[in-house]
Amino acid sequence: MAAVVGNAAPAAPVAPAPVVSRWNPANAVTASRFLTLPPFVWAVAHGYHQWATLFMLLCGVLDKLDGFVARIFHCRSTFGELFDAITDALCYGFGLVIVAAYGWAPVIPVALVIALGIANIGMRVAYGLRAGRATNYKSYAMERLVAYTGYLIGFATAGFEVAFFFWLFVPVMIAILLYDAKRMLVDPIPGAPA
Amino acid sequence: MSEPMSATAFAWFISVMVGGVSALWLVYDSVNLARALKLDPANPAVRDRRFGYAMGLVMGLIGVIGTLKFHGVV
Repeated sequence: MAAVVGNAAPAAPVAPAPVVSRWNPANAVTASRFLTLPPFVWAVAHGYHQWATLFMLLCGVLDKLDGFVARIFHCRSTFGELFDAITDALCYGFGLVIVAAYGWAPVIPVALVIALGIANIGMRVAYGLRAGRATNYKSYAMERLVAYTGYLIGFATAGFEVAFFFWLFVPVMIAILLYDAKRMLVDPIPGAPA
Repeated sequence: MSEPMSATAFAWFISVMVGGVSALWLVYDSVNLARALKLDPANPAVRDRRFGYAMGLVMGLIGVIGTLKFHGVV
């Protein structure tokens, strides 16, 4: 039992957080995104632009579906959020490398995006160490940027104004990373004692 | 094995997926930003929302302009 300091009233009992198994439907949906990668590579390797776009679209739809499933089955967890973020990075990073390797996207912006993505992962690790727990850093701007990244691969596979979308993505990503870097590395952590 | 649709249908499918979604996103984040501008900016979470919605507007604009560019409008 927590000690009561001075005349302060005892704190109301806090319900323990429900224990959620890692083997839950939401994480299964997240993991299933990896299944879209082999057919995606096959489609790119064989020059099927439309199929490649549709497989990447499926990967993006599953990304939206896992959060929906987590809410329906009440299986949201810190692990699930981290797993989702890692899956985003792996799937979209892999997709970008593939389209660049097959000459469907310009190499320089892809290399910049991947380098910035690695920097972002490093900052998230630093944020977790500062917070003293495994945590997924939340950012409204980054959520939108991840969606743009999924689209970016679709632009490459569809041949849809590829240079325009890829080159404009880089300054947007730099602006968001600079803003998030300050919040992750400098600003006080929400909920932590000042 | 062939592609699932004609080149023209695919071009319009992508145009709707990019231009249509971007236009909707512009409206969605405009409303979100208007609401967030009424909140207290001293709260870091509010500042994060404002920045996120503003970047959403930028991305939506890029999507709309890119689609118009694809169709030779701009």
